[in-house]
Amino acid sequence: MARILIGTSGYSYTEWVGPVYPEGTKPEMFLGTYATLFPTVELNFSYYRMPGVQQMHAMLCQAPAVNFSMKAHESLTHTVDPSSWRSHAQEFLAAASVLQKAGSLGAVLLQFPYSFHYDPDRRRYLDSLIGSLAELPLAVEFRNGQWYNNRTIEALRERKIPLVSLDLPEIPGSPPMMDVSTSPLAYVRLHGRNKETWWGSDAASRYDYLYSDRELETLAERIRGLAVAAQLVLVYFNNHRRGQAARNAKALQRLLGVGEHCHGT
Amino acid sequence: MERERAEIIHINVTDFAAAVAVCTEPMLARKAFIIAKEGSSRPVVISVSPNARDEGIHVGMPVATAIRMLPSVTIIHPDSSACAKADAALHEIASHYCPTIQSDSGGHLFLDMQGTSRLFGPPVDCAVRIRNRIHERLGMDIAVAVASNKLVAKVGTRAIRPSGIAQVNGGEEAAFLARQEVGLLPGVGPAIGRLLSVAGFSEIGQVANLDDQQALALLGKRAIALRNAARGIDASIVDPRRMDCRRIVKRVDFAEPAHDRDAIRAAVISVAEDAGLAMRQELMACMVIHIVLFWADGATSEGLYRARTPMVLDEEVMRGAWSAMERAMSRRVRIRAFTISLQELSPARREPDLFTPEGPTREERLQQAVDATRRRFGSVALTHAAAVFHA
Repeated sequence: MARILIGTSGYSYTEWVGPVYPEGTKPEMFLGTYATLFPTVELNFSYYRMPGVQQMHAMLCQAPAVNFSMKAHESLTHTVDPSSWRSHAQEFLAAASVLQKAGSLGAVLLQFPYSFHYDPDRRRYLDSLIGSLAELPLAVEFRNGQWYNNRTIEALRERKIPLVSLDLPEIPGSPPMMDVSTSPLAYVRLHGRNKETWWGSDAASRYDYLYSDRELETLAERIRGLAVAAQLVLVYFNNHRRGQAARNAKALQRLLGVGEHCHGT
Repeated sequence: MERERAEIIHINVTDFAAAVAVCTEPMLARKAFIIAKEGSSRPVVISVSPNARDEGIHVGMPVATAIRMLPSVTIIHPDSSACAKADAALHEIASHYCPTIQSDSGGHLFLDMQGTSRLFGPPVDCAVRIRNRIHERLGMDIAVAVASNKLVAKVGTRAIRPSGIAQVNGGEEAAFLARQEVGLLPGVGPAIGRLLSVAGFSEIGQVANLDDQQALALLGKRAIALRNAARGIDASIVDPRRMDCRRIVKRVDFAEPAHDRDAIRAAVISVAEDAGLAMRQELMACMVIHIVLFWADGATSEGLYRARTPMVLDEEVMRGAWSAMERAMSRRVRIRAFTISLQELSPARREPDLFTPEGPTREERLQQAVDATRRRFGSVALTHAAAVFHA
């Protein structure tokens, strides 16, 4: 049976003070406090701001027992400049290597937007990007359904890279629900099921969702299914508004009987 | 009737016979082995283990080739009894969640989940549970897909196999199929696959984009059925009857009672093509063709043709149908109507072509190859065995 680690996408939310973190928790204490709650976290600041080596060392000091996953910087997935992406990849690699050398890197998430179509140029780019970051454990998430085909799955299997399993609202144009084993690592992202606010609203509204107990039971079954072929399953709740991700993550831990005893620094 | 919601589940156990062997003997899980009938003159691989598949061995390959590729490969005799038990166990697990199950044997089941969501939640939740229960009880890690019809669900399991789960939302069928490899589309067998490959078609979406005229020009008169399949259109139902009770029946009513042999033969060929198409859409083969004649004076008669090997292709079905018709035509009376029934259905061993593409016949292709060889190596290089004997 695989090791299952459950956490949230991001940890630095001031609105979590109260519902998740004790009242009076200062921002610089967020990560240390988070480490007492969950064994893994998906860092999403690394998408908006290129992470630095020193910064990663500091995070490691604050939470040495936490398994970190990092969302790749937008210059590698959303705003790719053919002339400069390779240097950005090297910069990102250097920062991620800090966690990897410490044995604290779960995966680097390459999340591609809806506009990233399944065409020859983008397939070549993806192959090059994977090659540039080959030293790191990678996971790939596509928001465009065109990528969910047998050739993508076979290509990821050959490279032993997980295709991220998603939970999203069932709306036209969204990718199909697909849990496939392409690597010893399985990576799950749970975005909530806000049909009404998924398109055309801000991120806060989009991810303002609390999974019901029944929905969590089904998600637990999906994760058990992924655990059959994987050695490690990383699960992140991205419905972060008002601390709902943390609440759901705790409930899922209980359902799966994992990660109840976490210790910070 | 077309549905909008994803309520059909397809369960697909890849390399079923090998998966059953591992269930029976778990130590095999780490071994490279093949399932093949020993003792036959030229045995072929019936099923392969994952480790053997990784070495490039595949179903249909001669066993001798498999051994050359992997001398350490273990050969296991097929165990039809264990496979039947495993099929029954799959059916039993699925029956906890769904009353309407079509069991196609060989590890293939279709479930119609319509009307079950109040009891069990959304169909995809049931699919997840069924997959896990099958793993817990039988140790099989299988592929499961949920879609609005059988065809799309089947392509879904083929896209993710050997294991995993996928759901294609209602309305997204054509978009999901568009980027899948064309070989995943039911009905694309060796002949159509070659034809599409020569035409530069690699994805199902390229077939879907053909208009009627283009499809007919490329693939002939039956092309529309394949084009519609590529668009994710499938109105077939989940048939819960046992395989040996299922039939494909077509009927012909003549406008005027017929007695002209050529006209009757033309009708038989036409309806046999229709029945064959319906059978291959279900990826089935048949052993028996049954014809019932309705004479103009109100009497009926019957004719039966039983094949030695399963009939799949148009040519086989048409030949069998005409043979059954000749047996039924015992009187000198006009014929008002007749029915043709394809019986004793079983899953086709390999992916059958949905129809036989128009083009050179097998004999014509053979003749072309013989001529090419003679042109290259001289007329004595290749000749009939009878001629050699005479010499």
